[in-house]
Amino acid sequence: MIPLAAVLPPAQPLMLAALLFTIGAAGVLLRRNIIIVLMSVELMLNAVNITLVAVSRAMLQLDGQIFVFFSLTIAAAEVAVGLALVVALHRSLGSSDVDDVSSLRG
Amino acid sequence: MSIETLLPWVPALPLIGFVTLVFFGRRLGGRWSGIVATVAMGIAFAVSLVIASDHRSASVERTTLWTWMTVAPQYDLTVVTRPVRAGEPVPADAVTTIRLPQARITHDLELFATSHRMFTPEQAIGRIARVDLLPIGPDAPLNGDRLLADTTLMPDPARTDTAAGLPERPLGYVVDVALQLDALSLLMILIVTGVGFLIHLYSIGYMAHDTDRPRYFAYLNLFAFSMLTLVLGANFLVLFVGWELVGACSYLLIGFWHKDPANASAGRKAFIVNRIGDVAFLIAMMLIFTTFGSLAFADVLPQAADPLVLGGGVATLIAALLLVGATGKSAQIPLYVWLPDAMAGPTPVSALIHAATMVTAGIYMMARAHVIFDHAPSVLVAVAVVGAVTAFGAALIALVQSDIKRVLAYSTVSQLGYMFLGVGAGAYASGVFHLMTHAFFKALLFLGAGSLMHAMEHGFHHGKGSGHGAASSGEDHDDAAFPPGPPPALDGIPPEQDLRHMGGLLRKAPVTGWTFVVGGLALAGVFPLAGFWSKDEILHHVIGRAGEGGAIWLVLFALGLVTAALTAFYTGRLLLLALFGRPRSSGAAHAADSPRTMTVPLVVLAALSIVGGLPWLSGPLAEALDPVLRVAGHAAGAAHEVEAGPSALTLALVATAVALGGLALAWAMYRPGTPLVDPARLATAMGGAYRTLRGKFYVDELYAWGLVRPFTRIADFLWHRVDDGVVDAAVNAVGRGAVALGQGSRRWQTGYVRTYGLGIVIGAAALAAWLLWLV
Repeated sequence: MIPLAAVLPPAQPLMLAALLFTIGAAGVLLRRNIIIVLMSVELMLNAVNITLVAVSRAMLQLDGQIFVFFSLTIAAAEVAVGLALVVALHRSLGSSDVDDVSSLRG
Repeated sequence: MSIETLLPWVPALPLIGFVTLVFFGRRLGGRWSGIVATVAMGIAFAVSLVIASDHRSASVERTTLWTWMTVAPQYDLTVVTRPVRAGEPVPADAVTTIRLPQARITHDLELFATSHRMFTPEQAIGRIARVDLLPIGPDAPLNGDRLLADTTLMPDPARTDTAAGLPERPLGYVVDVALQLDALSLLMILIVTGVGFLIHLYSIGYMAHDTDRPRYFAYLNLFAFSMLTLVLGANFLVLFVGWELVGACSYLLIGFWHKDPANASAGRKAFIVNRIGDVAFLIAMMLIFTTFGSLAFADVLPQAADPLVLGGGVATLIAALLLVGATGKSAQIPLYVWLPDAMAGPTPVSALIHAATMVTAGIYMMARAHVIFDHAPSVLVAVAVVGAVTAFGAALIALVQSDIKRVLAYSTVSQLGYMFLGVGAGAYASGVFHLMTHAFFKALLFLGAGSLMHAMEHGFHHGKGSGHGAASSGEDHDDAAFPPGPPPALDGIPPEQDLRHMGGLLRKAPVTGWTFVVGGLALAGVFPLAGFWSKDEILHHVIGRAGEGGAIWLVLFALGLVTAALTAFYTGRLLLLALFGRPRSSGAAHAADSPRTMTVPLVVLAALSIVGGLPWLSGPLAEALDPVLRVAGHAAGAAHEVEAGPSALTLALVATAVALGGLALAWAMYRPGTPLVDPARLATAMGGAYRTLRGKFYVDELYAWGLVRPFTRIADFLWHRVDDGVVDAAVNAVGRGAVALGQGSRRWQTGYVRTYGLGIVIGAAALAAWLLWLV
């Protein structure tokens, strides 16, 4: 068992977080379904959370982990609003394709 | 009731009339507008008469209404240079006087509070003991103020002479709106208000069927105000204000029936040609100001005798420019072309503006500034030459015109030439005298022509049997049955104005006809009517100058005499064609005389034309004008003063013979029945000359080709190539650039969320990279 007071080198969790962030960003940019895009955004947020926790463990401070609480809360709220938007959009547009939301095309 | 208080009312009354009609004219309606305007003129005339009765000979009254502008006012400051005791009279050697423009004065305002208290003798040094010359404005220095002006100008207490280096002539100047009454301006206001009143009265009848009468009478009153301002001004600026305003009113009134573009065009032509002369006048005023340091007559005219002031060619230059200005306003060569076209306006307008008043402004101005002309003898010769040549040329053109108003218009140009001739000969008073008599008989002739036209129109539209109150004395059996209604216009002349359609109007419209005869005879210079005396006086002075030396005057005299013959001839032709013989159209056959509001002014003017020239009037006139128009050394005007040349009696006989000869020739050619010389055959025989005269020497065409066409080409070039091509292109290019920028930026607005997302990611990555590389 690793003692909690020991410093965890952050390399591996950070690499994981970077990987997850990249996957999430790719998802946001490349997927066409809005719900998948939302899920990718969540993935990015969670990647950031992992980064925060990893670095906070590495610096033996709790600040990062406390910040994660805020981040999780906001993510939850944001998902709620986002899904409401998706529902409204689907109702008015009739499709869940993000490429169809182009009435601002100029 | 002093003249000072009465004088401003003379121009103010028509101005009040104008303002009233502008605001309430629509509500007052046509009839009351005419009454308001006429009453205003009538009261102005009455006031002028009161002033005339009050006026003492050789007196000059000035009334300053208000200060118009101040240009860098100057102060004469008497500054204490030695210790003096306050409260005691300041000795002359303890002060010095310096003159400073207001902008250079700084003075200690704080000490103003203490300036009334006693100060020690030493404290007196540098304080202002007295302020002279235009103390005005809140920042003006006051007595006792300590002068903190430009220290280089502060007097050295050891010196008592004035500070050196100041300009000799004051640079500052105050312009007042001031009116001046002397014999000349009094004569002018009597003419303007008197004849103006009669013309207003006439207009009530003449324009009775016009729907736009409030505007008409408003313009007439405005014109009267402008003309009165012109002649009453005490300085060149007020004169110029009136000068320009009469030009504007002339434009408004000529183009009164502006729906017809030809009338509007005539109005524009009058105004533009006038303005050309006005530019010269303006330059002359600037020269006067720089030469004399002032524009007020009180300052300029006495100084003009001083050779130091008017040295070099300045007098010649100023006088030449004034001459050009006068030719514009008084319709002489080369700026006369607007006057015949100005006949497009209502006939009373032609009578008032283009016979009696506005066109006389040039002669008035030259009489006013005569001291300058006296010092430029070459310009005076030019004035006389211009006048004589114009008189002769215009008389030639008048010989063959068929439009009654055109004959009178060219006659006016010709008679104005006579006035110029008189002025050029140095006989300013004679020129002004002819101005007065001409105002009477020419206004009479124009109003009479209007009345005849009115009669003709009545004849056209109310033929035999229609009981329109016609006063025709018994239908003649030989009034051939003319087709009803007006015949078609020949040569663009409205049929009621065409002499070829008139005839026999003396029987049909007796009052108009006989007054017209009186006016015509006065114009021709028949003894003892008014025109004879004034024309004779001018010719007398001209031949007198020939006696003194200069063959040119002999030539000018000959021109004047020939012109008198021509004048008599075309007048005879006019009278015979219009009034005598058989009617030549339905208008003339069924003509009827005009209402009393039109005929009464005619009768009054006829009376004036009869008695207006007689010596019992002209003698005192010359005496009254003498102080104003005195030429250095000898009096200006009384005919008996001229020593050289033939005696007055000889000249009078010659002039009468010439006039009667002209009339006799006209009778021979145009008498009813079988004329001795058939005008039609003569016209074909002298085809080229006839056509040239009929075409007015083609001067208008010459101007159109030589002046207007290049000008229009330049204007077109500037319009299409510069305004459209450069300015508009630049502005449009800016617009197009903005649009292009927008079009380019549109490509970013794909509307796809994913593109925007990509943008966010790229931007965030770039920012992160930048931050990382910084660190």
